Amino acid sequence: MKSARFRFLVAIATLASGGLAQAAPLSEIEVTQILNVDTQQISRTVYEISYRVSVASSYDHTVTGLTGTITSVSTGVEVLDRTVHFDDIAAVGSQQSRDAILIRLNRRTPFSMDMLQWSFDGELVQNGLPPDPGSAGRETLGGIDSDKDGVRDDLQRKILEQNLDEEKTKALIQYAIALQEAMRIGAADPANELQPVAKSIVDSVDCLYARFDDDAREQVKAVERLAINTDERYHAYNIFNDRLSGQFFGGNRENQDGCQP
Amino acid sequence: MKKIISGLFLTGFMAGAQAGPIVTADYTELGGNRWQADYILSNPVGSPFDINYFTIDYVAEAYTNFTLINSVQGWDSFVAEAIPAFGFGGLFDAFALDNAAILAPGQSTGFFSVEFDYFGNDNLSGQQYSVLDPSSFESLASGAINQHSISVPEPSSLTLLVVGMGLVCWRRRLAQFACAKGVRR
Repeated sequence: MKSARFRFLVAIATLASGGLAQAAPLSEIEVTQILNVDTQQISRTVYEISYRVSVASSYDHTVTGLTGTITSVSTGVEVLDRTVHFDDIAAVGSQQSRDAILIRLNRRTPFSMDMLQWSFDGELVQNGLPPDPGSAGRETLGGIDSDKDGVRDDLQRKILEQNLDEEKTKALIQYAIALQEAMRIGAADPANELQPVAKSIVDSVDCLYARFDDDAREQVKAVERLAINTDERYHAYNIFNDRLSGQFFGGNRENQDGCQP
Repeated sequence: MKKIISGLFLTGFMAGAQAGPIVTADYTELGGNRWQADYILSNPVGSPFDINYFTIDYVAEAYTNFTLINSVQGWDSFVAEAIPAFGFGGLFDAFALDNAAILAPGQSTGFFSVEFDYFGNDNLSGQQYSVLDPSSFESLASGAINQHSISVPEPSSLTLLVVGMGLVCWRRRLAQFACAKGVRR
């Protein structure tokens, strides 16, 4: 068994991506159902109708940030509130809008649903990847973890985009989560969690060395650069390290004992 | 024209209840699924209000292709197709344009005539009238239409003549054929 000084050097990574992911027109979204919310008679012939829509996606990817916009091609229909928003839609899935559109139609004018044309914008997400949080993911210490799996979305995306095998991917995720925990307690100062988190970092580094052979060191550094990527995170992680200063932690990089199932 | 009197179905306002408006209809089958409805709106003596706005709603699944054939003088009328997605059935809508056209208790209108395609399985049910407050659009009274008569056109005289002559010719040809066979024998 080797003994190693618990020592981490960190650097702030300057990631190229800065802005929020851009929504793009999506053609494979189809309105499947109209759900009337409210109808008001405004005059003898004019009605205002508020309704939600259900849509179906033909995409093989999750659609996130979806908005639908309606346009009238008839003088008999006026659109008063033209945009609806949707929660994420799974691949080849469906979803009902969170809000409703509002139209005003004159029953004296011939009407068909074709007179209302829909366009959709959103972002396609690679399967298994959470949505790109963009700059919003750097605004807080904990970042954004939209799928609530314990690892920040920006970290998860970078790790999964490497398309490594499951064992290596798990090792990287394990280390990323351990670093997040280290930053969290560095900022919050819960003394009783210091040792368990330090142990989890040692275990996850050992796991990386066991599973990555020659490039384990580069992988450790890469995850650190991605995880500790803002002043706030850098500061929190330094505090965590300072509290452990002078302590030694045992590990074993020869087998996979440190790896979580 | 053969007339089938279907009787008067009292709906909306039962006997003994306060007198209210009645919409009575004569229906004529025009061929295929096409029908013409001639409506008369009556505001009986004792009715609590004048009538200057009324509509007839048609069940969306059974009625389509509406055409307004006739309105009553002093009334503005229109028809509208159903919009099932929004919960709208077919619509006939009539509004009195001036005081002279307003229907006081004890008065009736002339014929409002509407054509439509009917795909229902019964005797043109699925129609409901509403008398509305022209300011608030709230319903003052509503009910089913009273079917006064349903007219199914009989075959025309010309059709009968052609069919009859066809039968005569057919009989003659049969007779000639039998005669020819007898000569050969």
